[in-house]
Amino acid sequence: MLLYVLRRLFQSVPLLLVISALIFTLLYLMPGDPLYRMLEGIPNLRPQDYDRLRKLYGFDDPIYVQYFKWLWQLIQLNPGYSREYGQPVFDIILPALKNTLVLTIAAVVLGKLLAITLGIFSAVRQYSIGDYILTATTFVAYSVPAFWLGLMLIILFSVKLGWLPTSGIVNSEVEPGSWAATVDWLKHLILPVAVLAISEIIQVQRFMRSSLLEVLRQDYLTTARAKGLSETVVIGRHALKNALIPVVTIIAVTMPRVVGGSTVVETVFAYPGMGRLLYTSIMGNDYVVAMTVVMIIAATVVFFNLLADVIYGCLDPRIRYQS
Amino acid sequence: MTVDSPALIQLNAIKSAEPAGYWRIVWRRFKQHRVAYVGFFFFMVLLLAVIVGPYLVPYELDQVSLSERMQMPSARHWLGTDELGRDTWARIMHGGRVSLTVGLAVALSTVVIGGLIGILAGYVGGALDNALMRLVDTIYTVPRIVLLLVLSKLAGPGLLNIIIILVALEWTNAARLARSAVLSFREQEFVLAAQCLGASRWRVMLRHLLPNALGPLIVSATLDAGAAIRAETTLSFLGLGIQPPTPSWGNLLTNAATNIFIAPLQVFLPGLFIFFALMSFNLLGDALRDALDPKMSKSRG
Repeated sequence: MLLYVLRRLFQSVPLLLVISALIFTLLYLMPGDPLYRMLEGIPNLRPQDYDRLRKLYGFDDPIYVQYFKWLWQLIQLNPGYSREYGQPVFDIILPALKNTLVLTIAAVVLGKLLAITLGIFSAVRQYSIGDYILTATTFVAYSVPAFWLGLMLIILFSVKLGWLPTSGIVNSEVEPGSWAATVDWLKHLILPVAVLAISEIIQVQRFMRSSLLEVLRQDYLTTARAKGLSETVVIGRHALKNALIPVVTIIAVTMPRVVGGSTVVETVFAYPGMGRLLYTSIMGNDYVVAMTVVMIIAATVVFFNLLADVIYGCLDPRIRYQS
Repeated sequence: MTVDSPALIQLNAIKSAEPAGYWRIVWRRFKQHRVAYVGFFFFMVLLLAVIVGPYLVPYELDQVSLSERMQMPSARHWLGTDELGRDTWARIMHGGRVSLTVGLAVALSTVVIGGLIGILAGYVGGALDNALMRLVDTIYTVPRIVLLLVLSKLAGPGLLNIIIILVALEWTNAARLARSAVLSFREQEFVLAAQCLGASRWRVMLRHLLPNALGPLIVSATLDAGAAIRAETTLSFLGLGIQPPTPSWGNLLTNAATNIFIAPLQVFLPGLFIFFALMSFNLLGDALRDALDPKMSKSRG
């Protein structure tokens, strides 16, 4: 098992390198002068100064030289400065990461717990009215685009009822550090958390339902019932253990969203997180920031894919990884 | 359409007196599927609406009327007007042409391109298969939104660019499906028989393997159409993709969202059409999957 994990970790390095080279090349090809942002405010800039700066920052180097320079800096955890804000990249990413983690962890915990509960309910009461309503609702909700759902919630709770703020994370009129500020902060979180949690429920509820239904058909559950165990024990102890294995795997695979955030939802609610930073940095030609954000997201994707396989191997004794 | 192996045809002949080819069974099952009718109905209504819809009202799609700004629905303007007094019905119907075009074009292209790549990878195997599947893995590993944002910024706005980008990202599904179908058929007698009779590689792939991979590919196309519309509207919503003044369901929503406090209905309407479109493709995909799955009993529906 350990050997398997090590080998997989080793294999993920070239994959990350390929992804980084791919994205670096694409961003390199983007139109726009990388020095434009820095120099636009300087009126009496001579052409020779401009050439000197281009040389100084290495923009005249061939692409592969620039790539390896950038890669070496990233490995040293010093990816450089944002072109847009002139600050170190991590000073911009860390607050965004913090905001996204608050939002996504709340949404994932809430959404996944609800989804698993509802999925179990649907499977245990298969073909009941409740199951029909749940199945139909998740099917319909699957076709609702997240940005529209977000805007509809804004219309209902902000425009019509006036209960919740439309966007952002703080209200400038509230005194920072007070109780009112905490309440205000939570109010800003409710709608984006709701949209993200709903999309979690849509994805996982169906999956939990079908996974448990699959298990419920099996013979060992008949045996468990035959020896007189109560239905609670049969479902809760015997069936769930096996039914949760694929669900846990799916959860692990979707976990990178916790770090990467959701560009769409964060844009709808003007929430300053990773997803919105990815969007604004690409749109604003701030490629140093964009590259770092992309690499963080790609690394979490690779990591959680590996974790999913390991968890699957640990939970399902039939699976043996060859080293 | 039916390219059954002789053995299978014989088997069918024994089983029932009337000839019942695979596609005939699929068609019968599809017709019995109530969900299929609902999906098909939604799709036809939308298609009809975007084709004839713009001709039903006497307004051009960019006809500004400053005296009729942000109106509620009325007999003059069925769905009201936007912040420049442009007729919302006309704009949504034109936007629907754009969004549905993207959906259908992407679905068709991904199935053709992805299907051929998948069949090639599965049939030829070896290094080619390995390289293609690593490419698929890489595309899967990079989060979709990253590639969408970077590629659409790089390519610039425009209908054709959006279609190309979405095809470049979505062909992977069809390729995987076609490849796994081919892998399960490659060693079967009807393929060996064709090879023995001297059929060329291309003939084996196109005449014998393709028809057998077609089932999963059709389902994939239907779901890809929905995914493409979702991606296009999302990109247009984010300000990439289709740019104003050309309307798309996505950028109509963004435009209306700036006046969400004054005219919330204008935000609601374009999204409702996106929802109907996604819904129709998902319903169709679901019904087709059931119809094409030989394990499904016909009692369901």
